Amino acid sequence: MTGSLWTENLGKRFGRTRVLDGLTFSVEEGSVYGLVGPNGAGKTTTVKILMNIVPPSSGRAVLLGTASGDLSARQFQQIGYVSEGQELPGWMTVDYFMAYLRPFYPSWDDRRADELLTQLALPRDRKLKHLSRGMRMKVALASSLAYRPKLLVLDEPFTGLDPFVRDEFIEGLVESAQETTMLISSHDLAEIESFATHIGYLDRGRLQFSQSMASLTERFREVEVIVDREATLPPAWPAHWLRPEAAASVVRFVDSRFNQEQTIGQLRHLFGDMARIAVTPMSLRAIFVTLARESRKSALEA
Amino acid sequence: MRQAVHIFFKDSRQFRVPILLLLPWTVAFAVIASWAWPLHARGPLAWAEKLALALPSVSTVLLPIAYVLLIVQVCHAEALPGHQQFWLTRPYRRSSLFGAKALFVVAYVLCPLFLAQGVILVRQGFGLPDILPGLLWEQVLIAAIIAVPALALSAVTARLTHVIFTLLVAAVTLVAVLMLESWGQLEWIRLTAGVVTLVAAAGVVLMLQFRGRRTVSARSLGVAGIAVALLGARLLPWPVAFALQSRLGASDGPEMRASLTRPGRTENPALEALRARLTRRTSFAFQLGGIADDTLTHCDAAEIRLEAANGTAWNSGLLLKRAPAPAAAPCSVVLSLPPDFVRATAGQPVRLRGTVYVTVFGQKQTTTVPLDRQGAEVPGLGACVAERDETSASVECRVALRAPRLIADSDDLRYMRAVGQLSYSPFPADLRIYPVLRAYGFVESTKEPGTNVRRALPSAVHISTIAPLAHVRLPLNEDDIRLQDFP
Repeated sequence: MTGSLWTENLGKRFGRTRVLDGLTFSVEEGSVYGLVGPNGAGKTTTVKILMNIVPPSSGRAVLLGTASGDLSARQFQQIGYVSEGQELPGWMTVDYFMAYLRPFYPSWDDRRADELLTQLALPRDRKLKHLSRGMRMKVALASSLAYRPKLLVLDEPFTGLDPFVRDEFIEGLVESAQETTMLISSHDLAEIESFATHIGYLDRGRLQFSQSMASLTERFREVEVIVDREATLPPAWPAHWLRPEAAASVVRFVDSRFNQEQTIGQLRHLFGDMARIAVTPMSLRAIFVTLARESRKSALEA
Repeated sequence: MRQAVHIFFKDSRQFRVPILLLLPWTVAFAVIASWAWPLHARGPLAWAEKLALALPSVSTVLLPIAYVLLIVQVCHAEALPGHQQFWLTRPYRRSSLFGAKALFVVAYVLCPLFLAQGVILVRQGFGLPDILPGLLWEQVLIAAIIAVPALALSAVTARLTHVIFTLLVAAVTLVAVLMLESWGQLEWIRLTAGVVTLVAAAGVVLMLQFRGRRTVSARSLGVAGIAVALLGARLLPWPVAFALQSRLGASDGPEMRASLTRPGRTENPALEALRARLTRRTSFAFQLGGIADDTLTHCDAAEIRLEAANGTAWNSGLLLKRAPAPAAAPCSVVLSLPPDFVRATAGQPVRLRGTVYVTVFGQKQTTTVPLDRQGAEVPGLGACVAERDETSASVECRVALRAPRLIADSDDLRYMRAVGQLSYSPFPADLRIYPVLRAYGFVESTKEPGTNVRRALPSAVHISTIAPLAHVRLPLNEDDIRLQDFP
């Protein structure tokens, strides 16, 4: 395995509950990897294992060449971490917090720190406990970008942020994306879509797929077929055509392995002459809603 | 080290308010305690005086609690259990984190207490070179018994409420332990065993938590450590402690032997039978042979087994005599025998087997203490000063940092009462916040017989001390005795 961050057969159990099962993926240097999935999929557990906050039950994770269990002060000087529920020292002012962290990082850049505080519109003399949740997230981000980390790990960073703060937050991230590899765990797909280069989809502790954003959006299409008769779903329905619906003369489905020629060929084979075929690209959100529903359906069937 | 100092300064800033409350409190404790506490009030006190005088006694209890809470709060600033703390994913070196907390304890707990106790002792007339080893040892004890367990407790908790709950449970357990029968002058051995176990467990808890944040293991080990410390204190046999004390003795025990003093034989069988029915108490006296003329003895304990020819036997268990009263008199033991045993052995010869544990005292020294404010130094006891009026005088001897090793007495004084127990501990200090122990004596002028005229008070009194020299275990083997012969 290669990359700034990779995992191999990572597993985690809490008692009898298996939370992660054989998770294997890698994040290439310079990429922005979005780890997405529904609530309870195991995203936060994955991130906590990566950051050596909890140990894995099996498998391993490696960050910047060091096993997650061996991460020490030296590695954390190059790793940033921002998490939704992180407890910051509320008695510190924003300025004191930044000044306190400064000696921990040899690569701390005062000018960058100053720019970040200004850019994120943070009140320097206010205590952290008096800041809103969004403000505290921005402080955590500023304090994690000021030393120009090689790797930045964010766990549900957008949850509960108002749109204005989100924009500022993402702006801060995008600016650093060129020099920092990022792993963002989130179920906020619209935000991830705007700047992630790679996506991993986690569901019930298993990684369903991990691929580049471009190839993902390329392979999912919403297909609408209009036939000149009452539409019914043929028995030999391809497994990768998801969420099929038939109403009046219209058949709709999501093709999860879209290939223009093959899909149209298969449609002709199944439906014969068709009045119209409409193929629409899907947003990341639409793709994941489809995948989540399919997953729920197969879980119920199982 | 630089990182530890950096975190220490952060902690100092974060906890400046409690620090700024605790330091003046400690200073006030030192000033008032060194000035006049406990004060023998000569008249009614103003409320402010009463309040000021209450401060030292209140502080001896509340200051350690306040320091424990401060230590806990400081450790919780970077709590070890939990997943959400910001510092977990920052470049904190665990050794530096521990170093910072230890530095905080030294700077804001041990140093202020060291200075406060030093000031109190020096102001009360003790010479700094004499008390320095004890003062330093006192800080080791405070660190071991207060600071290290507090650090360990805060390393396995994340909230003050958990700590307070644990402390309440610990307090109840401690009260239960303190209700155990005291071992008197040997109590230090049981305490030391408990403290060593507790500190070892706390050390392992700290290592587990600071190195690997293994909270579940650390908590289990902490609970096990407390249980072992308490059970160890409960189950440690007194004879083992006595044997240890004997080994630590300054000199080898003399070649001693114990033999039963046999009273005259009672020849009235009817009277014997009546006594057997009426009484269950039997008193044995043992002559101790082989002791030097200038020494006194005290029987610390005895274990007696009585075996009758018909196979009936009775064990006394360990009979402890806590307050030592050395004397040249024989060592006596009063047994409460079960009526069944007395009846079963009436008129029969009985064998006595057992052990008597004896401490030999000697090196008697007598010091003349003038009944004025100059006083005198009584070796091994401390500085003794007197206050007198026309008809009476009180003598007060002050001992630094630990219960006295020596027994003090005076024929001139009406009584001589030591505050705190006698202790054979070899250490220069016991755990205490107020570092002075006192012994009081009192002398009153007597009236001429048949008149109201009082005799003049003497110009001085004499205080004698004797030191424990050896702790000896003597076997008892006596055959063919009749219980009826022992009243």
